Amino acid sequence: MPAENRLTIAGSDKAPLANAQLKGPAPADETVSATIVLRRRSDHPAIALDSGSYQPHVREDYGITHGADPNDLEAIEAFAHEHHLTVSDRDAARRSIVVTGTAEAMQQAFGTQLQQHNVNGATYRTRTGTLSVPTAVHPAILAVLGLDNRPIAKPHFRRGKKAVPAAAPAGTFTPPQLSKIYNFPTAVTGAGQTIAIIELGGGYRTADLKSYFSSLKIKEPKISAVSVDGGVNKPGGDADGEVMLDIEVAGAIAPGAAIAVYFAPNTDQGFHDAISKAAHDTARKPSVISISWGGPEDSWSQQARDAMNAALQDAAAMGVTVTVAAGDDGSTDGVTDGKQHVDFPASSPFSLACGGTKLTDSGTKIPSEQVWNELTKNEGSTGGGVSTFFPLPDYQKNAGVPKNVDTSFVGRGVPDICGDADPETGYLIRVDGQTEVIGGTSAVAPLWAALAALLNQQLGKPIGFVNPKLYALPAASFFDVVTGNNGAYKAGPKWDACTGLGSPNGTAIASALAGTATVSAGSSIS
Amino acid sequence: MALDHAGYRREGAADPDTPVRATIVLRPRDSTIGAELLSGKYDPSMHAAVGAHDDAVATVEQFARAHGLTVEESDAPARRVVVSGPVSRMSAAFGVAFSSFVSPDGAHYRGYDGELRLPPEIAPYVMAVLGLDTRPVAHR
Repeated sequence: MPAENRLTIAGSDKAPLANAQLKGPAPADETVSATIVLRRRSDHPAIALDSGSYQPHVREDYGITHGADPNDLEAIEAFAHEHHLTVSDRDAARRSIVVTGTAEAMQQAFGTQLQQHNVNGATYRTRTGTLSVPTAVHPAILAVLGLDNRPIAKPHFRRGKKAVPAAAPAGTFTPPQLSKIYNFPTAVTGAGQTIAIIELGGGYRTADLKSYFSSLKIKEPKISAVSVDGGVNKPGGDADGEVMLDIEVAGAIAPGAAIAVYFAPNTDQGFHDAISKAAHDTARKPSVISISWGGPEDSWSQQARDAMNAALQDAAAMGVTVTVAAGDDGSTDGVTDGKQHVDFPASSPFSLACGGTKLTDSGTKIPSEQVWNELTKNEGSTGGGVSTFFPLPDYQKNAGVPKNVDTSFVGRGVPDICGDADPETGYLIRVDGQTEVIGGTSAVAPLWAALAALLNQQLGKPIGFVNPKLYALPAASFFDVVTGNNGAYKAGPKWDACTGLGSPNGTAIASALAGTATVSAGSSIS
Repeated sequence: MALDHAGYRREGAADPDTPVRATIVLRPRDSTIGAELLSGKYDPSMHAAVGAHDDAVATVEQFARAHGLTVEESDAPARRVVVSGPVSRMSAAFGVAFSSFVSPDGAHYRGYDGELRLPPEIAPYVMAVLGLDTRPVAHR
């Protein structure tokens, strides 16, 4: 490449990170994602915000008249490609181009050095000084963000109940083993699909993901981080276990699907906005959303619950399947008021609520499962029960959902379906440089999200809001779990408030859905 | 709906100058979609796109600007208007007083007392205002 004339980006100067210990240069092959912010196009008048004629713009129109100049977008994409960077997103309306590449390539492209610093046990990628870019693209670039991932907001998340690793990995599973046990379709990989994963804390390290997928001899899926309300991919805390579990389970079972991880603060605003952004994301177009976070239904304010539920309804209306963990604290959901509680957003009627089992590989075609309940060992139990807020949805009318035991409310039954979740029969996962066994219904949400991606590819259209269809499928579509309890509720034949309809017989579900002639719930999210 | 402050210790009034970013969630324009989805009878071709009422975004933006708030982002299909401004202006716009609270595990959060109050011209459009209260909602 010929020598380039370069100019400094105004305002890009960054001070050294305070109270930090230099660890060394960033690994040259570390994957870095950066957002290039462009100037607004100049050939359209500014919006007269105060004039009486002002009309709000919908996103699609706004980009055309007030977004970035198409020539600028093209020039910057060419610049990125010349420097071995991949353009992972371009949005004229938001005037941003997201590029991904190695730390080495980023250093060359933006004229900087990337280092690593330790602060309070967490490692961040840092840079100091200014950035520079070639003269030709310089006027179009307002800022380059993300090269430095030092924390910009204090995390608000509460420490969850950490899954207890089993003493020995005997009886535990890799995701591909579960894929086989649950008879998932084998001719598809989720190609063409995007799985959105919502995270309210923690982060992932590319090196861990690389080594995890390579150890399973699986091609690493395309993984990207999406920032919502200032949430960022920030590995180094307890929540990393959740993030890695979600990505590794979804990615190992549906490696052909792209994975977009939406990081948001753990507030009602962050949670809502993350779901809303994923559902309405016209760039990545997720067809599946996986959620492994939640709180007891009545710990939410009414307005926040309504807003979340409406965002989930939007997703359903646009043909997006949303899988949600049912909780890990049995039928009380960890609340100590002597009453039974379900977890939200799993209790939304628009969620596919995922319960948990203890799984033994029987080596036969029928997996041996019972309700996950290790409450006596203080190792959790599947959430499940009856909502006190959401009425019984039509699709559960014939499922035999009992009345709420405390209020007699005829409510939404949780969960809808289940999968392996007991930490004693848990998932082998790589987190922060170590292999651990992790369980919880948190694992079941990405398991079912991956199955949805496989089904979407196999059927050639999104399964979308699948709950009404699942309740109408033949019984053989599921492995019915009939033994055990989660406290107040017992498992039994067909639907129950511990394991729903059962665990998936993936191939049977695929055939049954292919045979159903019902109108699909939305087939396009554009 | 009033927030329950049980288990939280009140530290005092919130700093009036602290910047706040709030998401105003608008009601869906089409109220029939939910029931059709739940009954498995939803046909997207029978409905206009999901999103807010035509006037909702403009009306809410006008309300925000009248209270000196900045409109950061408006997304009619996603039914979302994001506004920012200091605690003092949020307090005037939504009719509540903000306090700082300490949780049982020692973390500091912003919260408010009583119920949010909205003027009649925007109340029918608004489903929720999120971000005024910063307590964690979820575990994993």
